[in-house]
Amino acid sequence: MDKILKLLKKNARMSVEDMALATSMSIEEVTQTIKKLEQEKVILGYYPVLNLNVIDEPNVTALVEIKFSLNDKIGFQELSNTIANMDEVDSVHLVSGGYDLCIVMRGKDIQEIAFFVNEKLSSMECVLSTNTHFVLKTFKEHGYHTADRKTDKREVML
Amino acid sequence: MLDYNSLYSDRNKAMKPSGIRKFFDIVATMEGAISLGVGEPDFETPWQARRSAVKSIENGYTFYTSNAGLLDLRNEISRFINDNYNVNYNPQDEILITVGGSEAIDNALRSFINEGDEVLIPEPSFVCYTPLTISAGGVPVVIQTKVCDEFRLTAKDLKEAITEKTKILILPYPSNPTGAIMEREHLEEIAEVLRDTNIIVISDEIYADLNYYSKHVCFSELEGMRERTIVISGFSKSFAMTGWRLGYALAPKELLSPILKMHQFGIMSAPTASQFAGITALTSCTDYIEEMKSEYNLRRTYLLNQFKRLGLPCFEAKGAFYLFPSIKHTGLSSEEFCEKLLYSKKLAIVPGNAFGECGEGFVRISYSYSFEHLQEAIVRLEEFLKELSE
Repeated sequence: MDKILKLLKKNARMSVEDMALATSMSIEEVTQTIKKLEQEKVILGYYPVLNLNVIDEPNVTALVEIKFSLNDKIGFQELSNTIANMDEVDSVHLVSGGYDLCIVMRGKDIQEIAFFVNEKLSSMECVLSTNTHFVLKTFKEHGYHTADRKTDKREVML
Repeated sequence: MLDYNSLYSDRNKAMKPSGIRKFFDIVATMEGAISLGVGEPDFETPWQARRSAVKSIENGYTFYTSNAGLLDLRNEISRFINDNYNVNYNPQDEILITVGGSEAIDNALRSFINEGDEVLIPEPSFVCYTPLTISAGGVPVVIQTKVCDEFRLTAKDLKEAITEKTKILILPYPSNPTGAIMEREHLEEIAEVLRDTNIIVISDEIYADLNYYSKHVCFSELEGMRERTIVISGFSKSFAMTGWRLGYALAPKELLSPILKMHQFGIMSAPTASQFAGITALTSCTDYIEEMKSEYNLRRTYLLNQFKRLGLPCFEAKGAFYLFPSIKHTGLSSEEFCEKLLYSKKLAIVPGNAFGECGEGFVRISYSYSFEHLQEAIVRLEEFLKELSE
């Protein structure tokens, strides 16, 4: 299972045939392993790693820090789930430190994100404060550099 | 006009130039050509090691180090060797930091060879041993290893090659180009042959950390071998640090001191920034070795299985990052095979005979490349083999 995961992390589009050859497993075993990883929610999905600097559609990414005021009726779990259920939100992390939740969200422009923060987030009873950071430029995404980088720099053949 | 040819030393002239250089000049200029030829890791040096070299420069460590190398680095090497193998080397006088493993091999040969001394060189093996032996005034005596022995040096072949003039045995395992390893039982047979001789062993263990099958055995661990063995290793393969030129020699002080003398006059000291990177590699980056190894192993398995599917006979190489399949069934020589493959499919691999005559009939394939690269190479190789058989 570790080997399959390792291969998928490098390239989720690798064919099951090639994964079978790389691990000396049968195609059936590889297929079953992946199915199991998916069923157990180890793999949540597959997603192209996009270069948002160059993608041909308007997009804005923001990191929003949220601080809660908890009461005896509602806890982190429920609040985090409520926010995770909102479509605009990409990822939600409960974090240690000066605030409670860190979310990453994407919208087509600043107004869209501002609307979300103003109308949806700050109107929630338990939200004490928010702090929004807009992404200006992305240099690396999921391990991939966004700028062109010579990948093979080797010159000697032997 | 000077007659340059008359100026070159006889020894230099006796060193044959690498026959495949020309071949790879073609690769470099051929549009769309890809290679499985490279003999160095495709990984970058771990970040922390790179960072510590930069910091050392910023902090003004821009001077020579002691001839033997930074004591901190020798201490770390001593600890690393002791943690991994059942053998100890004193950082004070049994460890020498060199400019790559190659310098250590060169200086070791030149420190012990007298005119006419014989050096036993198992082949196929890395291209430097024969020319460096000649350059030192020695006589290279090739021992041809065979695919039926998985390219190991056997006691029988060793015994047959030993004469009164034998001074040094080169023991190059895990092997470039075959990927062969020697396990304890095989090394024990070699040690048995050597025990009552005065033969010095230069054990080139630069690929020691890339053994996918068993734990590498350092030759000097074996009874009676430490006193006669110069272990060569370095950072190039274990920590992907080829460009840093950082290697080392381990030997009892009686064997190491003449090498240190050569190093002192010829080199002074290994690059200081590289030595700082080496300390960090050993103190903070050893997890990186396992990570690289598991990636190499997936690629190795992938290629071995692909070769099986393509009908390309290949013994299961268990070390380094090379496979050494046989191409004899195609009826082509190694060079013809590689040349045709390059011109028709733009895929460059190295003919086996570049590593000694007994490499004829084989090719070296490096898997120091990403999966995507290997997949593309296999597509080209499959087309080529299909067209050959038509």
